[in-house]
Amino acid sequence: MDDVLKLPETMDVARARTLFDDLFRRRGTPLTIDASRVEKASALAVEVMVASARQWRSDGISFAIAPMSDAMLETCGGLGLDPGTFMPAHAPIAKEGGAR
Amino acid sequence: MSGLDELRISFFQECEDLLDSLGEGLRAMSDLAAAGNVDDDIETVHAVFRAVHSIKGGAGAFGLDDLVTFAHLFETVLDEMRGGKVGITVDAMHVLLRAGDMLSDLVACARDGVTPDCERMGQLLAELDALVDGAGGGIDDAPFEFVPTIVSVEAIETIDIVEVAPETGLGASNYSIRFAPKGELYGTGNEPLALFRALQQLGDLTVQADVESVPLLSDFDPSEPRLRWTLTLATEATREEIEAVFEFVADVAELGIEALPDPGKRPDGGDTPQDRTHADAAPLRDKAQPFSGDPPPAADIDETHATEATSEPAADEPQAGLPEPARSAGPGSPSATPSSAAAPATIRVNLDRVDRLINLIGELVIMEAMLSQAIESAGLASDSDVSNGLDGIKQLASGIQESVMAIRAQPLKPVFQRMHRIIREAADATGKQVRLVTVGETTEVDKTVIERLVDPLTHMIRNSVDHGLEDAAGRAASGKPETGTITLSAAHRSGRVIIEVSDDGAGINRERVRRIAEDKGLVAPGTALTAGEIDNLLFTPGFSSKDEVSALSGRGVGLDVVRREIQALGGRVTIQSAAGEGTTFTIALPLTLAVLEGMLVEFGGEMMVLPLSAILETLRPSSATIHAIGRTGRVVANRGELIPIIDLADAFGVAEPGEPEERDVLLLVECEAGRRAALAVDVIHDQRQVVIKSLEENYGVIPGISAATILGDGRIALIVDPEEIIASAGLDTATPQLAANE
Repeated sequence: MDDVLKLPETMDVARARTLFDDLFRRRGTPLTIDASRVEKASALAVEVMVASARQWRSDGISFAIAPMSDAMLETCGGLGLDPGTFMPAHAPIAKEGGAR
Repeated sequence: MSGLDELRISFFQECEDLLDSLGEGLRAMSDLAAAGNVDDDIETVHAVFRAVHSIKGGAGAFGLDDLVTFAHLFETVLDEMRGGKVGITVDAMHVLLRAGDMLSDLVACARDGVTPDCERMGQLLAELDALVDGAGGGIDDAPFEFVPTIVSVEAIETIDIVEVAPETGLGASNYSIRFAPKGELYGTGNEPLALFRALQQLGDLTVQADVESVPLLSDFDPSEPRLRWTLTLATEATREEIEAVFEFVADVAELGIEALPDPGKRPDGGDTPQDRTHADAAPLRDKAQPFSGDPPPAADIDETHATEATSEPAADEPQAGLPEPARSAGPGSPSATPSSAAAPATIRVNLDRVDRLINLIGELVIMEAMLSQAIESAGLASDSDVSNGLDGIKQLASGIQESVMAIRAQPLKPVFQRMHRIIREAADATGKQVRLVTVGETTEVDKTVIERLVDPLTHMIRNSVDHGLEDAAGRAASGKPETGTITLSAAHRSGRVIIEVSDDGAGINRERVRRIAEDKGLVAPGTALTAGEIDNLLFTPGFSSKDEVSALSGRGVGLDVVRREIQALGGRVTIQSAAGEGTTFTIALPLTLAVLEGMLVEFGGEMMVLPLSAILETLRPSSATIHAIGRTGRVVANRGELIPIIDLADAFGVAEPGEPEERDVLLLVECEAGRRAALAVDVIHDQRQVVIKSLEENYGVIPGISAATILGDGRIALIVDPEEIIASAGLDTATPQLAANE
């Protein structure tokens, strides 16, 4: 059973740094990030998750970000990322969102 | 000036526009909240959010921490409001209106390098926080929770992607934008997504993230972000408009904007963004989310739904949460839609440049006159080609002059908008309920006049709230609504700007005004005074109608100062009042300070100009109405008054020997505090507009002369300052004794 890291509603820049520390500590263990509550996410927080996805993939350990809130999905899309893989997506960005 | 200084100045100029939009939006929200139908215009909330957000973004770039902190919480509340988590109630709007005032003060403090009122800021931050907390949204300080549960990721792995073919209009260009934020970008409150959304308002945007540039977590440093983007924008906007989106992050990100030569083809011979979207999307078909429209919960999505959600071009949707540094963001303004084609293009120009142009036009007039003289001397016929050509040039010069004056003209709206805050503060200070109605705020006035109108108008508004309006109980007793109304209106009338401040209060208590004036020795007890004369006592220096000095308007600054300031602008201020119905202050101003409407007069062989605003009437009195007083003094009897005569030739020491002693053309002028005099001249030549040339800048101060002008024939004429002439003549007669013909 994977550990689940449950993200709070606001994933601002300060939280991104805390997230980095948390994820760094959890390296080497299967992990799922629950982003279902996220209402706002900084691109820096998303980048921390991208770095983590690459790290876990490189280590061959299971890593997932699910479930995702609408806001989180929208933020990823707006930043040109496929939320399923955290790899580039090519889609026009969303029309409305709360990210700041 | 360094580039950063220029950027800073530009930021504060933008802030002025943004604060205007903010104030307008907040008032609209407040009105809707009072009417209980705020849901009807959610776009207004978006517009207000955008204004606050843009200010925050710029403030972050310049390290203005107080501003960033305050704007951040302010926009959080607005974000919760548009998300429906915080109600847009009358009470909440009361807090937001004051927060808007605070934000405006913080911008001013940051601009002027002044320390803000931390206590007030702290109090408002607490009130804003309470709004968010009240909605249960609060700033979430909960630590991350680790819960050992099994979750399925199946849902998002079955989502279809739907390609959206960007639609662009004729004349659209494609731009490739490389954007790489530095760590400081995030530290200053900026977010790439907000910038991307602002870009999307300009056209169709494709976002490509370069995740390969992001290192593994083991090598990652959150203070040095590596994620960068390549954006492709198909737009009719100019490169400058695109650059403006990044204006506030120019120093905290690497940016490259490259125009792609052919909208259908990239310079590297690759596919168009549309093609790439289609081509690259295929491998993602089983996993990616279509990011158009509101994404439904991942598990519920199906292909049909996704197709419908994206059937409308995304660019047609109103955008929210976007900074718009280069464009206005008023409610319902064209900026709410992606197309900016309808918005008139504007540029900011230094006023010095415009003034230089005005001076050059003055020079042009002189050259015209010289040329005209040369043509006459050469004996050329008036219908010769040269004369006709000169006439054409004169007409063109006149057209240019009018156009330049129009450049200096600005709408009164920003000044009127500031008065909403004055009303709010005055209402709070007096405990009265007041609403401000503005009429004609698009009326244009010379920019310098506008800037100098703020103080007098502020004082008049405070005066109206404090002294003009009754309290709620008093109004109720008079059968009036408890909320008093102050109307601020502006209009052009007879070549002047008329601004009125009227209240629906009790009107001037003339008995009381008279008693106070007598007590203070401003008028002799028992003097016969008309209603108009009593009203004018309010403008007398030293008059204060409140028995005790009020904390609001009685700050040692009386209406006499208002009158002096208006007169310094070449204007006049008058009062009309009706018992039980209210009081109206009327300000009449010249359209511009660069041009003066004057009367061209001659005395002692000198040609001079008298400002028309000071002239009440012109007289050619019979000798019977002129009386000698003392050894050299003379007065003229006019409408039952005796008005002292000042011979301008004597006053300026230009009287020619042997000329008649008594000039018989009189110009009755009125100055500060209502003092009047009759200025004697030989001839009145003409009434005309003249371009004002400063003597103080070009020569020095001359007593009795305010400026100079260049006449059509190239001669210089001095502009008389009646105020100083009367003062230097030592006339100390006060208004009430003289002012009978209001």
